[in-house]
Amino acid sequence: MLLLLAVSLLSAAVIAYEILLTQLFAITLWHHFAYMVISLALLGYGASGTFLVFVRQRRLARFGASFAALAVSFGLAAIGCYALAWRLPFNPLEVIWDWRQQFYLAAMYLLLAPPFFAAGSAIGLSLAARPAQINAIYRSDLTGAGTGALGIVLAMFALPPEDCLRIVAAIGFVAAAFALASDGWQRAPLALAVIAVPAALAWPATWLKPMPSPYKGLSLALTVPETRVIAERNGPLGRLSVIESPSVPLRHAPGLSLATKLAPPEQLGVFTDGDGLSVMTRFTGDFKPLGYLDQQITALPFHLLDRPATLVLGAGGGAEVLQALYHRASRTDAVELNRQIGDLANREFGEFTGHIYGRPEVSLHVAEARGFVAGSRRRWDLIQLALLDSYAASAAGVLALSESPIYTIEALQAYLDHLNPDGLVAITRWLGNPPRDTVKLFATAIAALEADVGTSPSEIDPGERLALLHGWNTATLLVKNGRFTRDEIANLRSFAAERQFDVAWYPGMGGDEANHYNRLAKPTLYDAAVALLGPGRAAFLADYRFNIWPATDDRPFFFRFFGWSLLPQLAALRGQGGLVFVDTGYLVIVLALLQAVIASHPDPGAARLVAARRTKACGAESAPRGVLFLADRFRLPVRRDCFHSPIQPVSRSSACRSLRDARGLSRLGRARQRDLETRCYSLAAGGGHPGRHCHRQSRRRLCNGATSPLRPSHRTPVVGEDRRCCRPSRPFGVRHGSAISARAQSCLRLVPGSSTVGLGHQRLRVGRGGCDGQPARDACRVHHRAGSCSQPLHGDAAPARAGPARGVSVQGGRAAREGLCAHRHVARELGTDPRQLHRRLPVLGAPNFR
Amino acid sequence: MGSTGRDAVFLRRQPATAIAALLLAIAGQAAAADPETVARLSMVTTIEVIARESTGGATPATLDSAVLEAMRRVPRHAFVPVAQRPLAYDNRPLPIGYGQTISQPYIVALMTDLLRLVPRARTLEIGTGSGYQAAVLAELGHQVYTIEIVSGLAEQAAMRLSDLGYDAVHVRQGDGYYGWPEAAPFDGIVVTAAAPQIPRPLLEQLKPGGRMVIPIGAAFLVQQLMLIEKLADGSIRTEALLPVAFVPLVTKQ
Repeated sequence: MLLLLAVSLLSAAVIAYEILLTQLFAITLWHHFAYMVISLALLGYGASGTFLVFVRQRRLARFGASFAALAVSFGLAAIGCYALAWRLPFNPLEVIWDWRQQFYLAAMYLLLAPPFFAAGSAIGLSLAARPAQINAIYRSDLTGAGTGALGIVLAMFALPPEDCLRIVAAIGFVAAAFALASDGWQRAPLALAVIAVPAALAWPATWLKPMPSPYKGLSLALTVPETRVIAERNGPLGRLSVIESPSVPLRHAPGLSLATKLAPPEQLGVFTDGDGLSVMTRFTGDFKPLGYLDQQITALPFHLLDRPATLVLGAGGGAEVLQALYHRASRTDAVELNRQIGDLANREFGEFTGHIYGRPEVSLHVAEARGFVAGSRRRWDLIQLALLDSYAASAAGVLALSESPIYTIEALQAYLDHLNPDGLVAITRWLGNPPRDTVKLFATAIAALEADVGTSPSEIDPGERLALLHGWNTATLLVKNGRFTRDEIANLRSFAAERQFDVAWYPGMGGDEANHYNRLAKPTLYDAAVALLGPGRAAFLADYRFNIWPATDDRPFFFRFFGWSLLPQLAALRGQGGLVFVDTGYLVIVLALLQAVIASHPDPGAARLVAARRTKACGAESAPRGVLFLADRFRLPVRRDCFHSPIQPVSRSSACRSLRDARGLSRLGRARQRDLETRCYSLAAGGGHPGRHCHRQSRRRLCNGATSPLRPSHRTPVVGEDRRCCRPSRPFGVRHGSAISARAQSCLRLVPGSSTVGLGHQRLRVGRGGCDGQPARDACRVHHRAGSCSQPLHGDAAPARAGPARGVSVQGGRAAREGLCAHRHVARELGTDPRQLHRRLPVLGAPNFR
Repeated sequence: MGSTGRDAVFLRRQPATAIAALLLAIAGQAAAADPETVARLSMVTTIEVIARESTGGATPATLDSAVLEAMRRVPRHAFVPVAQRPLAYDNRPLPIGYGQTISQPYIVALMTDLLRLVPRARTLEIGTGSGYQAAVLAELGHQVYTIEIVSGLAEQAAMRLSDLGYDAVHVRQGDGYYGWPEAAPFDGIVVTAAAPQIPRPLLEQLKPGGRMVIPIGAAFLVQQLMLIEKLADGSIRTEALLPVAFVPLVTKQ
C-alpha cells in the first residue's frame, strides 16, 4: 500500500513537473518549447528503460533503497537541473545566425532529462520488483499522473511556477519516504519526510525565478526608464504582468492611421507570459480623449453599421470594447479566455479602465471564443476579432505550431451563422511581407462563404460579400452576411482615403485603386484577391510560395505559412538573412527533432550488447516515438516505411504509447488523432517481424503492402510469393489504421494452413483462415493473384465453413493486450461492437484471448 | 630557406619587378597587421555581392559607393561587446545587451542607402543602440541626432562615439516619440526601435521630400524595411521593401 502511494506521488510529481516546464518555457522563451519538453520526457523515460535492463538485478535486491534514491534524485534534479538549464545563454532567435545555439539547445535538452530519467527508473523498478502487483502499481501510476496533472493546474492559480517547482521537488522526497517505509525501514522515512521541506525551500529564489528572454516584449518594455511591473497574476493560461510606464507612455494602438495626430491616453500594458501586449486604456466616461479609436483600421465596421450589437472575441484589456463603446454600439459582448485579465481590468484596475466590463451595455463572458459562439443562440451585427498576438511573435513565426481554432473555415462559418442579416465579421491581422496572414485569411473566408449552408445567403458570389483594407502593418477583412451595398462601399472608400489606408478588395474594385498609400512591390493583396475569387484559385493556392491553404478544424494551424519547398531557396539566401522567413518555431523544432533522434538512439555497441543479452533495448523505442510525434507536429511528408528498417524494435505497444502520449499532451483534432493513430498502428505493423523466415527485403515489402485496409474503398492487392512469406505485387504505402489485424489477415491468406504470425515481440497464433478453403465473408477486398481466391471479398454473406479453430489466439499477457487493442481498433474502424467483430470479419475470429 | 633562395634568384633576374612585388608585399603585410581592416573590407565586399543579387525585393541593386566607403572606414568591432568582437565583421546581427541588437551590416548599408541623403544632411535616429548606424551616417558627413531610451546604451554609445571622434553625432537619452524638435526638420530619419506605431511627431519633423526607414521584425529577424516618404504636399506614402532577393511569390507567374 505504501509503495503504491509512493508510485502515485512520484508519478504525480513527474507529470506536474512536465506541465510546469511547459509553463516555465512559455514564460522564459516561447511556447513552442513545450513540444521539446514532451520529447524530453520521452527521452528520460526511454533511457530509464535501458538503464533498468542493465541494473535491474542489482537494484531489485535493495528495492526500497533504490526507489528512494531515485525519488530523491528526482527531487534534487527537478530544481537543480532546471536552475542549471536556465543559466545557458540559449537564444532561439539567434539560431539562424549562430551555430553555437544548437549546442546550447542540446545542452538544455540533456540537462532537463535527468528528472524524468530518475522518476522513470523508479517507477519501472517498482513494476519489476512487484510483478504480482503490476496491475495495482500501474493503476496508482495512472491515478497519480491524473491527480498530478489536475493538481498542478490548480496550484498554478495560487502559486507562482517557481513555488510549484519547490512543491514538486518536495513530493519526490515524500515518495522516497513512503518507499522506504514500505520496505520496512524504521526511522529513515520520517527523516526523509522531514528533510523534504528544507530541501525544497533551500534553493535560492533567484535561481528559480523564471526570467523572460531579453528579446520578449515585457523585457524590452522594462528597459524603458521608470517602467515597472505593478501587478502579476499566475495561472495555467499564463503569467500576466501589468506594467506601468509613467515617463514614456505606451501608446499602443495597432493599425493607427498615419494621417492622424491623435494618440491614445494613458495606458497600462498587460503581457501574457512576457509577450502579446494587450492594453488597458484610461477611461473616465469621457469619450473626448479617445478620438484615436476612430483612426484605427479596426474602426471600419462602425462606419458601415449603425450602433451595431457587437461581439468582441479576445477582448483582453478591453481596447476593442472601448472602441465599440466609442462608436456607441448598442450592446457589446466581450469574450475573453483568461478570467484573470477580465478581473484585472474590472476590479484591480477598474478605476483606471472605468470598470469597462461592468458597464450596463457591456457583458464579459469568460469562455473560449469558438466555444462561446457555438454555444450561443444570440446574433450580432458585428463580430470583431481582436489582434491577439504580438507583431514580433507573428513576424518571427513562433506561432507556427500553435493551433488557432478561431481562424478556420468552420470558425468563420460559425461567426457568419451568428450574424444578423447584413451583419459583418471583421478580422484584423498584422500584415507581413511577403503577405501571408491576410491572403490566407481571404482564402479562408471564400471557402467559408462557399460552403456556407447556414442561414446566410449562400447564392451570392463570395466576392460580393468581402472587403479588404490595409495600412502599413495591419489589414482588416470584412465578411458580410449579404451583399455590400453601394453606400457601404462609398463609406469604406472614404474611410480609407481619409485615413490613408489602402483598399485591397471590395466588390467592383479596379486594379488601379490598389497599392496607393501603403505600397508593396506589387499590389499583391489585390492580385491575390482577384486570383482567389477567380477560376484559378486552386492553382494560385498551390503555387503561392507560402502555405496559404485555408486552415480547417482538423488542421487548425492558421499560422503555419512556411512550406518546406521554400527551405532550399531561403537557405541559399542565408547570408542576406533569407532564413528569417522560415518560421522560427519550425527551425527550433527541427533542431530539437534532430537532437532527440541523436540523443535517444542508442549507440550500435550498446544495441549489440543488449541484443546479446536477449533483452529489448527500451531506449530505442523512444526515438521512433519522438520522431513520430514530431513528424506529426510538422506534417512532414515522411514515408512511413522509411522508419522500418533503421529503427528496428518498434513494437505496437510503443506505438500505442506514443499515441497515448500524443493524445494526452496535445490537443489534437479528432482527425489528426486518427491520422496519428494510423501512423502508429501502421508503424507497429511494419516494424514488427512478420515471420522468421522472411528475409529482410520481403519483410519490408510486406510492411508496405500487406496491410490491407478494411475500408472497401481501399484496394490492396496482395499476392503470395511462397508459403512462408508474403510479397505484394507492388509496394504500397501503409494507408489505414487496421494494419495489424489486416496484416494478420493477409498472412493468413498467403500462408494457407499455417498459423503463426509474429507481431511485435510476441507471437500471434492464428488459426486456419484466409482465402484458401475459406468462404469469403470479409469486409475487405483482397485479390489473390497467385492463389485460388481472386474474387472481391467484400460483402459476401456466405456462412463460414471453417471450424471453431479459426480466429486469433494470442499467447502471452502483453501480446494479448495488444491483440485486444488491435481488435478494438478494427471494430472502431468498422463501427461495430468489438464482441461482434468476428461476425463481420470471420478471419479474425472472436476475441478469444487466453 | 628555400623560398628565400628562390627570391634571391628572382631578384637577380628581374630587379625592378621584384622590388615592386616586395613593396606590394610590405603594403599587404601592413594591412594584414590590422585584421579588422581586412575583415571590414571583406564585409563590404559581401554586402556588395548581396546587394547585386537581391534585386527581387525592390531594393537597389548597387548601393551608393559613398555608403560602402563609409562602411569600410567605421570600425564595427568597436561597437560590439568584447565577447562578440570576433564576429564583428560577420554579416549578421549581434546582441549588445538590454535585448537590443546591432543590425546586420547589410541592413545598415541598405537603410543608409535608402535614405538617399543630400550631402551634409540632417538626420535623426531613434534607437541609438550601439551607435554604429549613427557613426556610418556621420562618416558620410551628415549631422546625426540620435535618441536612445535605455540610459545604459545611450551613455555607452555617447562615450564610444566621442572616443572615436564622431563629433557630428549628438546623443540624447529619452523618449524617441517626440523626435528632436530643436534640430528639426530632418532630411532622413532612421527608426531602429520598431514599434507597432509610427510616431506622428517624427512624420512632422521630416522635411517634405524626406525619407524615413524602419526595419521590421523581431530581434535578429528583420524581415522587411519600411520606407516612408513625405511628399511635397505633406502626405505620407509607405513602401514595404524586402531586403532579400525573395523568390517569386507565385511559382508560375
